[in-house]
Formats: sequence, structure tokens, C-alpha cells
Amino acid sequence: MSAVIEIEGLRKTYRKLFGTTRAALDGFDMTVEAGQIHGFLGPNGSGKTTTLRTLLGLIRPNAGTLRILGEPVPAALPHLATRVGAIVESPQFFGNFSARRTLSLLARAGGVAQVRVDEVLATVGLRDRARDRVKTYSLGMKQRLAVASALLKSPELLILDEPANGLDPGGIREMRDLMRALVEGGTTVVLSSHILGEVQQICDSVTIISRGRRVASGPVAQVLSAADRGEYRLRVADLAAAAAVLRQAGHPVQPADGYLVVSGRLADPADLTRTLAAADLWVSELTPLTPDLESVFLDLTGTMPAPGLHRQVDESVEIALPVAHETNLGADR
Amino acid sequence: MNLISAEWRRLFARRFTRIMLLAVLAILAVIGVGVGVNSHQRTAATHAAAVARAQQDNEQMMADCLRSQQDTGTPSDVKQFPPGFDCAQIARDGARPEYYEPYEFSFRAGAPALVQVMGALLAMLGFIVGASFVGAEWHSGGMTNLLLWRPRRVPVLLGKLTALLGGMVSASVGYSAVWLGTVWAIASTRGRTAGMTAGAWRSLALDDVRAVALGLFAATIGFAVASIGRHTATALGAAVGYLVVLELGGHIVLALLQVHRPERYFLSNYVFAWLTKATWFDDYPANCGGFGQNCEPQRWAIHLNQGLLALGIAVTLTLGWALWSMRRRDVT
Repeated sequence: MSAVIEIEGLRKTYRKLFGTTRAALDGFDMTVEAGQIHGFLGPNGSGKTTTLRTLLGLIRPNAGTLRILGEPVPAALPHLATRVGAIVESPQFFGNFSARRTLSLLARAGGVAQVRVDEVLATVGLRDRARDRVKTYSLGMKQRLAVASALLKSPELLILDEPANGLDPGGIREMRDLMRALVEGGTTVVLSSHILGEVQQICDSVTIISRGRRVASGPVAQVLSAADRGEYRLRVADLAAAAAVLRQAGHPVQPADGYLVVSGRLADPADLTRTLAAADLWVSELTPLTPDLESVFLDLTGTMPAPGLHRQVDESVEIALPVAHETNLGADR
Repeated sequence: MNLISAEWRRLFARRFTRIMLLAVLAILAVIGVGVGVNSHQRTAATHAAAVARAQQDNEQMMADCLRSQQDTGTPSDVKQFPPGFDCAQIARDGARPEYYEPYEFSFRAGAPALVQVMGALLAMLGFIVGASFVGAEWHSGGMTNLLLWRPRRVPVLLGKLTALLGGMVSASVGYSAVWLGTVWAIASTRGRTAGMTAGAWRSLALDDVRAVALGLFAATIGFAVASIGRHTATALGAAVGYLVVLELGGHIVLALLQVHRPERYFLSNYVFAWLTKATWFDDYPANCGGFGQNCEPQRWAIHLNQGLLALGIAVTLTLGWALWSMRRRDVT
């Protein structure tokens, strides 16, 4: 598979008043392979939108190299533009224009056939409201229009920043189906979203960013398995007795609310039931605790909510910069 | 070319542009109606009536004067013609028939001023529409969208400006044709059109070209300032700020400091000079102002070419800054 997006050592510093600076991106790396849906995740203020804007030539980086479809950006962007569709944050449209006029003007400016306007309006479900002014649209309808504007060019690479923002459940499912269909048609989709359940369901691979640096990347299954500590949830009538028996047998055990968590990467989970049965304790539940993307994300970015703590926007994990920029999973963790 | 064509459509599809175009048309219509209603064609009958009325008034004044000189006049006669007044003056300097002729609009004398009025309106139209055209795009995120489609910042900005100026030229040509046609119709039906020699037409055509050019200058400046601030309000605020702080406040400060010929420091005088070919000012001597002193001011002017230079500098600076800003600043 060839890389559609390659980012290495990307740095962007914003200058604030009185000469102070804030690093939005600090040596960020990212690779997106062709033909995938790639999730781009990070807490608020972690540098996601800055990365996407830099990639699209809207922001000038301080350092780093960027390539799209094998060509350096921003230098090659003028001729790459027809192959890349993007929505960045929630795009606003001119309220007094209709959706059709908005897309028609974009198509004319970009040299795209006008017939595509009606096609994409139908694709995103706006065909019957195409002549209404955009200012009468709901947030979800504006989001659909934004996606339509990105699809207008029939792009090879589609970059979507929070595309599900404001969509109703049906719209979210339609968006998911649309992305799947696009990928099957050969398009690569980069999806920035905070709806992690959705990302886990739809994405083939992910990159997680925190405070301007990559904290994890790779196929979703690989990222999840890396965070899998081999724990099991175990229910039994007498928790205290069971914990004592298991500890005696050499298994690390943590009591939880109504169950036990057994860790230690068991070769055969049946050992637990066997050990407890020998002590006349009968297991009612034994479930592997597989991490989901949300818990992995919260763990990796250090943004897990804690009672009594009011986490501030920039309070997330800051990892040390790797000596060399490696792209494989775990190299920078 | 696609970009310019799309931006042209966007410009005229905007409701604000349409409203402003109609507003200028409405203002011109009000002025045209005002001139037309007040103008009356002079005829032999109006002239005869004016002669008769002048004669009647002179006779009445002569009678009042004679009564006053013979001490039989009323107090008001005496006040008007005090003792020793030479009543023969009435025959010499009294009412003339032309005082009683109705106002008659002359195309040759009046059309240049009306073209200048149109120039001022075009300047207002150009500045506001130009500022709004790019300011609203920045504010609404439309510019970001456009840059995702055409990631060439300077050509995009220049493409929008070209569409704006093209639109302004089209609108200005339309206004000029309608306005001069209207003024000619008023002069033909309710005034006079005499005296329009080839030279007079040439001069009027140049007046019109300068009026149209002023609209283009203003459109470019409004567009550039709004693009620098990335908001329509930046241009409107800068215009109001300039007029209030620099023009009004500056006049007061320079007068207090007794700066020599302060008028040369204000752009409005150069704009006026560009429209009217020259703006004249009186320069009083420094020691003038004592009671009873008869001061002869020195006349000086800002001429057309100086007006062009000042407008050229203003356009170059604002547009240069806007292009630099477009090229260098992040689109966040």
C-alpha cells in the first residue's frame, strides 16, 4: 500500500501578544495509507485542526515535511487541489445563497462540471432543499452541504474534520455508509472526530495526537491490542474467598464493584475456573476486558475524567520527542 | 478565468450588491426629479412676463423713493431710501428682467456637476460593495473554502478584485449612460441643451471617466482594507475613523498649530480635485486678521494630477498590504 499522506516532524508555533509563543504542533508525524478510512483523534487543542489546515496550505508550518499523494505540499497543492476534497472544522457558507448556488459557484471556480452539483446534493440528502437559502439550514444540513462541497471534485483523498457534527443518528449512519462506499470506490478518507465509538466502528487505522505530538498510530485493532492488559472480569458468589484463592495460586487480583479483575495475561483462562472450582467456588461470569477506543484514547492522552478534578484544555499527555521519527506503532510510546 | 467568472456571478448574486446598486439608482432618481421639477424652460412669454414684472417693481420703487425724498413717505420708505438717496440709481441699478426669469437647467453648465455627484455615489458604492464582497467571504469562511479549491492565495485575491472591478466598470458604464441620458432628457424638456460643442462633450466625457475611475479607486481601497482586517467592518471602521479622527481632528490640530496650507494633508481634497479638475483654497498672510485690515489671500490649488497621484499612492499602499497579508498570514 502506498502512503497518501506523509507528515514528518511538523512544527507550528503561534506567537501570542508580548512575544510569548505556544507550540501547536511539536514534531508531529503521521502516515495514512491509501484505500483506508483513517481516524485522526486528539483532545481539544491538541493540534488536529492545525495539522489539517497545514496540510491543506492554509497554515504555514515552522518546520517539517508534508506530502499528499506522494507530492510535497504546499508546493504541489495547486495541481493537487482537484484530487483532494476537504472540510475543515464546521465550514460556514454564505447564508443568503442556496445550497445549489453555493456549490455551483465552487464548481465553476474549480472547473468542475455543473452536473456534479446535483449528484452530490442527492448523495448527501439535500436534493429537495437545494434551492433553500443556507441560512435556513440546521447545523446538520450545513454539515451535509460541507461534505457535498468536499465531494464535488470526486477526490482521491477526502479530509473530513468532524463530519458528524450536528448530524442526527440517521445522518451519522448515512455518513458512515457514504464513507464506506467512497473507500470501496478507491477514495482514502481521513476522519477527525470525537465520536470514538463511531471511529472504532468505521476506521481501519488511527493516529492519536496529544499536545502537538503523536502518541499512537496504526491499525485500530493493533492500537487496541497494544492497550490490552490481558485482564478478565470474574464474578463469583464469595468475592473475598475467591480473591484469596486466586492470589494464593499466583494470579494478581483487584476487587471491583461486585466483581474481581484478574490480570496477568493468562495462558488459559480456564485455569481460573478450575482453581476456583477446586476450592468449591463456582464462577458465574468470566469475561475478557478488551479495551475500547474511548478508554485507549483517554488513557493515552491522559484525559480520563477523575472525580473532583476539572481538567483544563491543555492538560493532556505530553510525550517526549522520539530520537528518530519512526512510524511504526509503539515507537514513540 | 473560471475563478473570475464565478466571482463575477457571486458578486451580482449577493443581495447586498443588488440593494446598493438600487440605492444608488434611487438617489440619482431623486436628484434627477429635483432638478427636473425646479427647472422651467425660458420662452418668449416667460421673458415678457419677467420684463413686465421688473418694470413694475422699478416703477413702484421709484414712487416710494420720490415720496421719501419729498417727506411724504411712510417710515419703511424712509428706511429703504434715506434722505439724500439718488432716485436715479433705481433706473440704473434696479430690478432686471433676468431676476424674474424662472430657473432653467443648462446641460452644458450643469451636467459636469451632476456627473461629479454620480462619481461621489460610485465611490461610496465601490467602497462599501468592495469591502463587503471580500469581508463577508472572510467572515463566513467562504474564503477558506475557496482556498481549498484554489490554493493560490494571491491569484485568488486578485481574481476576486478583478471580478469586483469588472462589475464596477459595468455598473458605472450603465449608470453613466442612464444618468447622462436622464440629464439630457431633463435639459431637453425642461431646460436647454445649447452650447454643447465638441469640446464640451469631450470635457464631459473626461468628467465621466474620472467619476468612474474614482469608483474603481474606492472599490480597490475598500476591498483591500477589508481583506487586511478579514472583515467588512474593518473597512467601514477605518473609513469612519479616518474621516473623524484624521480629517476632522487633523484639521483642528493643524489649525491650532497654524500649519501652512493644511488642506494639502487631507485625502478628501485630492479626491475632490480629481473629480473637479482642481480644488482651490485661499491662503491668507500670516499677519492678516487685524480689525479693518483688507487682506488679499493668495489663491492656490490641488490639481487633477496631484489628485491622481494621491489616489494612486492610497491604492498602492492598501492593495500592497492586502496582498502581502494574503500571502503571509495563516488562514485560521
